[in-house]
Amino acid sequence: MKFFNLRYDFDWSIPFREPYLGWLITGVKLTLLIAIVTAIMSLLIGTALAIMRVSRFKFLNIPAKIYVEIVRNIPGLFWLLFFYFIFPQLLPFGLTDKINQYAYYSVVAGILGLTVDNSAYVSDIVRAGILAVPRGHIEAAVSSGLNRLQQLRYIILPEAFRTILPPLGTRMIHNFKNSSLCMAVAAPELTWATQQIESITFRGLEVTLLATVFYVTIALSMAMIIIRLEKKWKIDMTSISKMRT
Amino acid sequence: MEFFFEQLANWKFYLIGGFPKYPLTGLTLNIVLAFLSIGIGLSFAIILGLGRISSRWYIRHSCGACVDVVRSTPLLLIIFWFYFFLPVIGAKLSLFWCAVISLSVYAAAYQAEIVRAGILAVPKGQMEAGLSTGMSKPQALISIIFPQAFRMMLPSFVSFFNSMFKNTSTVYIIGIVDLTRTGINISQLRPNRIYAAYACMAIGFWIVCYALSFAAQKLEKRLGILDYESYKPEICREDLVLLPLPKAVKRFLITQK
Amino acid sequence: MKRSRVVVLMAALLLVSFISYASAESLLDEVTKRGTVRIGHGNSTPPMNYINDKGEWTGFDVDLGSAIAEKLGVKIERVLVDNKTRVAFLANRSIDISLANISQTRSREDQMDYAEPPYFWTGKIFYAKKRKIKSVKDLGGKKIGVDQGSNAFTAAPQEIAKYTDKKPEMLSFQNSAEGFLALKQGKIDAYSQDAQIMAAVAGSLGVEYEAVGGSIWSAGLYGIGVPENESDFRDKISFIIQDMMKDGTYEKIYQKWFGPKGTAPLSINARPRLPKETYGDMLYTWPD
Repeated sequence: MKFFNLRYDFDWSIPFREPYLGWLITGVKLTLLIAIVTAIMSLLIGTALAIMRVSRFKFLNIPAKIYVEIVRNIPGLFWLLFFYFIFPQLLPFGLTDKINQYAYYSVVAGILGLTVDNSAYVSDIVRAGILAVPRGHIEAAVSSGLNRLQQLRYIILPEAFRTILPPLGTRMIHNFKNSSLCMAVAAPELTWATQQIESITFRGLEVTLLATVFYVTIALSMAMIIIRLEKKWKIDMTSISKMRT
Repeated sequence: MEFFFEQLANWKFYLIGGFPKYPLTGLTLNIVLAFLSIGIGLSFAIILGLGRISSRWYIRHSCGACVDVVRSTPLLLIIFWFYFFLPVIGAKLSLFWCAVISLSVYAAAYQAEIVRAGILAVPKGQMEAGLSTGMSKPQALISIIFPQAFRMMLPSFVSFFNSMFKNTSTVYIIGIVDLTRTGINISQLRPNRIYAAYACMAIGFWIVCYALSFAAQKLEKRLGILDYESYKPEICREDLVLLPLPKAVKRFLITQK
Repeated sequence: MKRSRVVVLMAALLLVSFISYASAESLLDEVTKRGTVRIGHGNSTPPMNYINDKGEWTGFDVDLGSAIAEKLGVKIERVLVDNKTRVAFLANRSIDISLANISQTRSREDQMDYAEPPYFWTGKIFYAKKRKIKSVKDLGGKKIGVDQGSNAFTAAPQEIAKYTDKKPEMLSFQNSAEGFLALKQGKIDAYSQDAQIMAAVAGSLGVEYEAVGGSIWSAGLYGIGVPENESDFRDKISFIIQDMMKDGTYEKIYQKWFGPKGTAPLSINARPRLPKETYGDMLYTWPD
């Protein structure tokens, strides 16, 4: 098909030819794997960091703050490269060689790098959510005899997560899109696959178009799920205005 | 460790590369890219942002669709789109401008949301008051709404500048010699300096970003305005209707409003 | 809702049709009229084309490009390309000449033409730690790195399949520097790249590495890429490169980079040449 005078003929057989199809399928699987694993890990680490940051103890509070300040102010790409090239070299006891010989370390490095990057942002959001929990609720919890951990578990975190659902969802969508950066460390995810096909066949627009459709579809579905959840769990949104104090 | 100080003493190379004798590289290039893309992006963002709140449905939805699609595509893919697609339509651009355009498109979509939120944050009465004094709609927009909206948007812009600055490091993948590529080049030319090079890279990015986030915080405090934009859902929900979705989903979304 | 989508689509197509154009005149005329020739170089493959530690864009290809522009009598405009775009940009005419260590391959012939003769003769080696891998056969099942955009990604498994059934694991990096770093750290067992690039990337660390089996496994004749179906332009560039070989310009640049006192001394003779047993050291050019 040739329309107008684009210097390009679309050849839609390319994405469905072997081995290109195989690369694309692996790419889709890996992209989803990276996105899901980093989302879960960064949620856990981010929440832990947020709790540390609102803690009264300096030895919890300060390290968490330093972590967030360092990570937030350096691009995610740097963390990917760091975890791929530098991090294994710093490990003791022959772990370096073991890690380096692991065939899928590029994927692991991608996951680690994205997790580190994302968890700092998640911790910021969760912290804002915790701080937005009305004082009265915590006082009520205290007076009903809950200890500090129980307060967190039953009152503060559930409320915080409801308030921060929209920004948290935004972060996770961001994280999903950032998984494309893993191509920098040779992880064969979807963007890598499109570039690989481009570089071998010199026809990248077909696969780039397909990949774009994939990313847009997933990101929009994620957004819709978030909207649905938000509606379901809705609490007074004005409390958001107390965030980030 | 001595390599680290040696590389730190070489700060000029990380900052500007061989400039002015050779093309500008290094950290300054990141800053230039961020400024250019935000500047160019802003002009489109104002149009898109106004389009998003237009009373005409076709303008509103087409602007929304553009914003949605760009916001849900990875930056890297946007860069590749322009990298490979611009030449196909006959546009002959250098790599630098290619990077600027793709970053601008990305920035425009995000800034459009900031602009929209800023304008919507101005109380409705302001517009009505302007109209009742005999101003035309564009007049009221420019002389009443924009100055107030801009003040509201300022903190969001500063923090967006921060994230855009970090995003500029992505263009290293298409071969632009920014700070990331400078660090990698040094670790290539002198392999035993790799730790030092990465450390310098991190320090360079950190200083600029920290300054920016510090400025954003100060600005927020001073103006008493929060960066609401960071807490908004990514996708503009009412525009989802435009995309080819099953009927049930559409109904669900429309009842949303 | 459907109508809005059609409207938007029409507008977009209209825009595209305005931007695009077709040029009827030959490229040679176009270049002469324009007064500049756009030459694409990479920037991450020493010693062919790279950024040195002064921030200077330099290399064998870059010097050769300047010489070609000088002979053409036009100004030079250098365009940055990479392994992925050095062919694509030529195909869509973003650049007039691609001088970015392009090995001549058949699949690339679809998209571009080469000036005659190939300007640099080298070949791909599997580069690995000394004494670790004895022969190509042992590479089966091992991890092999390549540059993204290099034809070795498909060619290397085919080569290895000749000797063993075990398939190698292929990884592709954004540039040779990252690939060599991965090799040095043991993330990959071998890296496949052209011999002289490997030597330059490894630099002083090269003593610890060697070519697997001690030899080149795939010939790499670097060609100057020119757009497809531009016969006049291709002839012109061919004659220029031949003239440069005759009048010593080529030799001067060669000595600067690969001579015994050059930046990256090369033990093998990489000049385009004819079979030695028949022609001696005669260069590969055509009589007038």
